[in-house]
Amino acid sequence: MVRMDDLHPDMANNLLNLPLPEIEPQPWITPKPLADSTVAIVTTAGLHPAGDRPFNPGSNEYRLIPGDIDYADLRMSHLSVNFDRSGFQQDINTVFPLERLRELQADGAVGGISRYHYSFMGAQADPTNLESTGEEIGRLLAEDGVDAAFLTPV
Amino acid sequence: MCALSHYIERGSNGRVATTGISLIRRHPEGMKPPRSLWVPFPLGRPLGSPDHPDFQRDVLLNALQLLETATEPTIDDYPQDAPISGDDPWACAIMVSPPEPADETEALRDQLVEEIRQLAPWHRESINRRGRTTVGISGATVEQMEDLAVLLADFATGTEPSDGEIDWNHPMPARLKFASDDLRAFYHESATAQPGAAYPTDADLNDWLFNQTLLGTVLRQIVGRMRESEDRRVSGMVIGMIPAGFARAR
Repeated sequence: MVRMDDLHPDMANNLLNLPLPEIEPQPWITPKPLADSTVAIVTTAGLHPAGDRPFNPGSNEYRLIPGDIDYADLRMSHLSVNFDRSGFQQDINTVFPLERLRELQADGAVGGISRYHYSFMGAQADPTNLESTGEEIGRLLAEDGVDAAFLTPV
Repeated sequence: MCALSHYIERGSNGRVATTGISLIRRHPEGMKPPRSLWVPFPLGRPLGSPDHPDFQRDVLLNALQLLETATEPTIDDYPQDAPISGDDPWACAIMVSPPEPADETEALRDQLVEEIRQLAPWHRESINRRGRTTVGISGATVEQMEDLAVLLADFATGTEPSDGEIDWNHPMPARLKFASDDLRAFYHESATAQPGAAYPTDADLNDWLFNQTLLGTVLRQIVGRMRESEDRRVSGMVIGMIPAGFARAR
């Protein structure tokens, strides 16, 4: 589990000293019931389809992951070596739970699944680097009829 | 991740609500995203454990339910640790018997290629079991792992690496990092392909790769050369090569 005592001291130090910018909060959004909501996944795991351009270190770009992607077609080009990749290598859902989301939709817990999901490169020295592309994703998701985004790091 | 929550909601003009997982509790505490589920799992495993679909689904549902329950910026703590597979410590059953690394380029190439050939049947088993591989971010195919070995052996021994046959995704020095990541993925997938074996932790796999294989030794040699480079692009790439705690042999 991620408790600071479990991490290598260099890693713990990096994580504790990461700048945490104050971002002005947005007006509170009251979403639709989950059972009526269309959900997208947004990950900072540096994932992308195999044929797509890998991420460069520090990139603020994003990659599109089609909702019908075959897991065999997903790759991870994250800069950091200081997180577990074996979970992803053994089971993609450990990082990108699209199959779990499909099950929740089949159960009726979730209304729908976005046609597209999005991936960024994490390990940003300055999280505000993602401001412009993060806002762009917000616009794209809204225009695509998505009601909620599930964000997941590595 | 926390900053992205703010940016996505702002960009959507109030039409897309966000929720998500946090692995480091200090981050949502400081950046106050609208909704965050802190999970007590290792970095790299935000949904818990591989091949535990019921557990993964519960984690996901807990994060999504914050969309219905939170009425102000909220951090919930997930109450369970990630499940562990098997009672016994993991040990890699593949004996790769690393030799003393050769100083001479051709000999080191041969040694590393031989190690990859020993692992190749297990990697084929991995693909048969999982139907996929995560190898490929360097531009190399699974069939070109030996070419990656040549690149790394050349750099480790101070020989100017050639482009070879691979359709590289990156120029040097990023090429070294992603070649290293691909070979590590090949080794990990091979080492976890044994049917019935307990799942290793990331520390188990790093300990095996960096202390019991020739690749681990070669990667340390490469990092040593990168650190000495006067090219800051090369020395700066060191942080993407070897996990913290494994820069020295045990």
